[in-house]
Amino acid sequence: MAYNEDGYQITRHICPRNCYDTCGMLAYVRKGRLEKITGDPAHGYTKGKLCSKGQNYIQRVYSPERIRFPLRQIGRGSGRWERITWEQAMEIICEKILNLKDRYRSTLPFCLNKYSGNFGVLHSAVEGMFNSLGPTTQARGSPCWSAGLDAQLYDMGYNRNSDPGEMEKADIIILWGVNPAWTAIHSLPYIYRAQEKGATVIVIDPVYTQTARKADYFVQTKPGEDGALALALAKIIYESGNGDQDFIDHHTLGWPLFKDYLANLNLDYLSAQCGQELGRIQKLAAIIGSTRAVFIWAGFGLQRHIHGGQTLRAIDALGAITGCIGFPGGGVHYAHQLTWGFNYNFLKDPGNRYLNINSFAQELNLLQEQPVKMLWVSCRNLLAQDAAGKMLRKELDKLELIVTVEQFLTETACYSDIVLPATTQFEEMDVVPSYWHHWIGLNEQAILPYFEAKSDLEIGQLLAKTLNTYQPGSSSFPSEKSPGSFLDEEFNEKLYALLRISHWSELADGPRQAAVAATAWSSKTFATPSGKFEFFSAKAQRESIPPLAQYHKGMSPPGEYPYWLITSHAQQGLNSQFQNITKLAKNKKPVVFIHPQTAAAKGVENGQMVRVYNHLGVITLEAHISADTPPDILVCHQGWLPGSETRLNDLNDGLPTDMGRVSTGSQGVAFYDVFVDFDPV
Amino acid sequence: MSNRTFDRRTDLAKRYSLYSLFKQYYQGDWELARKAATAIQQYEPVNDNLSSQQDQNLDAAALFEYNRLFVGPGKLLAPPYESAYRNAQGLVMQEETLLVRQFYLQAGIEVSNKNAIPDDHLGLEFEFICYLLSREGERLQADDSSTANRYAALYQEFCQQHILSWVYQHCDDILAHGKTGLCRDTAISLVRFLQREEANFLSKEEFV
Repeated sequence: MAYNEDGYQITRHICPRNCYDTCGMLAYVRKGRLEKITGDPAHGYTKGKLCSKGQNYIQRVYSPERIRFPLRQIGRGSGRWERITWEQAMEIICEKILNLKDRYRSTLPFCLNKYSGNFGVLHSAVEGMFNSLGPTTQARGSPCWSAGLDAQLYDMGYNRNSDPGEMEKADIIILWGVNPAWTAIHSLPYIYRAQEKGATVIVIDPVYTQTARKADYFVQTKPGEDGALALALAKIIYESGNGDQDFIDHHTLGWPLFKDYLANLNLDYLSAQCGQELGRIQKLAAIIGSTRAVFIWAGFGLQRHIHGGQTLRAIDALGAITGCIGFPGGGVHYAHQLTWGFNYNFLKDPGNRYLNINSFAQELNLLQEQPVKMLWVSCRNLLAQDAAGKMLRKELDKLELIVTVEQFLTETACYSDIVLPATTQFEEMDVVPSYWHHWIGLNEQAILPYFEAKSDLEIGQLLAKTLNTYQPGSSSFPSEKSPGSFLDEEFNEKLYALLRISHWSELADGPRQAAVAATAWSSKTFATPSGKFEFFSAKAQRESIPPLAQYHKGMSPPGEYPYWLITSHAQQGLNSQFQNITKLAKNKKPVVFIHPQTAAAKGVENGQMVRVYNHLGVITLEAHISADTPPDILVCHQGWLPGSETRLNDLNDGLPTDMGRVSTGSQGVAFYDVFVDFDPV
Repeated sequence: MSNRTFDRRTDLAKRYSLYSLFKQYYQGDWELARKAATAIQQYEPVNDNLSSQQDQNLDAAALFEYNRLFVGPGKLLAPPYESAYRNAQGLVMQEETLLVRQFYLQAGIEVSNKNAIPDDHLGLEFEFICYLLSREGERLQADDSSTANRYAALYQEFCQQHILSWVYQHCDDILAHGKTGLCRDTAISLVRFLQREEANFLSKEEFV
């Protein structure tokens, strides 16, 4: 915390959203009021710049729509809210906890569903509070990135990536299923500088994104068929003698098997599968095979299909064959866990029962013994974001108490019995790492909590304290410890050494970049059991996953539902966050983008309302006609618009992806394997 | 003690009581708000709504409505914050809030829970008025009419600069969205009361 000549108190912050960029921010406070927010120039990746969402945080902090007080809803979903005190809220919750404990002689009926609304380390206090009660039921896994994480674990043994600045050293940058122009804007300057130095930028995506507009080549693939393209490229590059034999011979395991597998692949078949002319793939292969400085950024989109993990393994294999992995300016980059080495005291498992977060409703329904009776939601808006939403509402109806900790009246909050007001990152202390760049920084408390808002940590402490007054010994969660003391216990010598600091409080001087090699795997020593890049993974085999990276035909639209429904990230939103900030809302209604030919065939005009449907239900959307989306794909940007009844994932079965268990505890979800038809309203 | 002073003190006491009730209505928990609303009807009855007495028994409906209008969660249908009406972006804790804070400071007081609850919450603005009126009363009792007049002038200034600039609109919002007698009648009473206050304001020349 510092003060400047204008009388501002300046504090450091890190945007804690589930986002590549995880920006450093400075908050300017005068007379106790947050007046402005800027980027933190001391952050070496975000360099003092913020995206439009970050620039508008004041709108979020001081929104008149923020939840101010603890509230109780009389009749779930009725909108009949009454204001209660924190004491009353805690009484209701504690009485329910003790009553359930009494009735079931178990703590398993208490369930937690929490994910990535805030990635701050101290937000794990929610799990900490739950774990202090005894074995509870907890949603586990990730709706986001599981399959890809596992794929890289099998191939390279660890989730590691290069510093994004390495892109500047690349001859070729492949942005594969990722749209940084919308979702990681701070990476664009590196890409532009690389382009200025002569690098070729290739975007591979089913949709002509804003990023694709900036590319030298745009390859419009069929959804879920990126693996076919990767393997076709790998085969052509190797067979044309452009592979890196030295890398293959010295740093890989299972090459003979993979080589045989490649030899037997049919290029005509693969090119048809991914929707490309073979000649075009050959041209691409010639470009990619010309250098080892190929920086492949594999996004989360391409693994949101049933064979998403295999797709990433195929791309990794392509990287290994070109020898780009470990080469400066090269590599296959997905996400890293290098700066996440905290102690995670909060996550010590007392023998919990875990449910797959991606099939939460289905798994709740299966519980015969010790059914879940009370649900605690934090950092999530599951009713807007989960697949099989209708089933979820049915399951929630069986619960006796739903508590949601929130900043806004989300769909999930609307369907809760108790809503507790949560602080923003300007009202609490925390530390936030990133999964893309290697910087880590501190969130200082800039302002007092808005009205009666409390942090997840404080709420956990208050609950523990209240429970123990009702029944001593109910919770071992430390109810008096300060946030700083919790941080003391979360850091360790290894993490301090990585950040080259001796105490986390030094992060108040500026975010720190972890002392890791700028080029991932530059030592060519991998973290796999063999120490090599594993074309053949025994670990995968043990998980009943094919040991060799291989092509599996993806799904395609069945006759009655001839269109893909791709629900990618919005520019002005992050999952279900930010769309309620009026200034950011581009569209007041949920929108579907439809190719002009497709729209014409159905007699749909721009701005007209359409019914989009499949066997699971119907949603109504406003048609925006756009040639950016292919004729057989409808694109909707995922999110939550307050007041809208439209839930995109009501049309989503929630099919599991092939991988994800090792890294996140559950398989991922094939968010993009959804098929629909549509009609004008 | 002249009759005029006595009348002024009686009048002041009545106005203080009403402001105090409106303060309780906006600031209090539901029980207090409900009681205040009933008491307001004794001072400032709304006769043109015969159903109001009946409606007021519908406590639960009035409670939920009160929360939808003023408390949340979600979008407030009649936010009780000056900045929500006067700030271009409709945010709370903005410049407008600080101007109110500045006004309080000028009168020598500040909000105890400053920066967590905006200073321009209507309940706090009414509390501030109660303070000014009580000081005016104290000074009158002490035969210090010059200071009493200073407080009266501050009150008028505060109303003109702040209360009257948004509270009518706020009451319109209550009437547009509110269905229960309790919230509607209280809004009507508040409008009538403020209109009467406004009509009695002295012109600048009269304050000497």
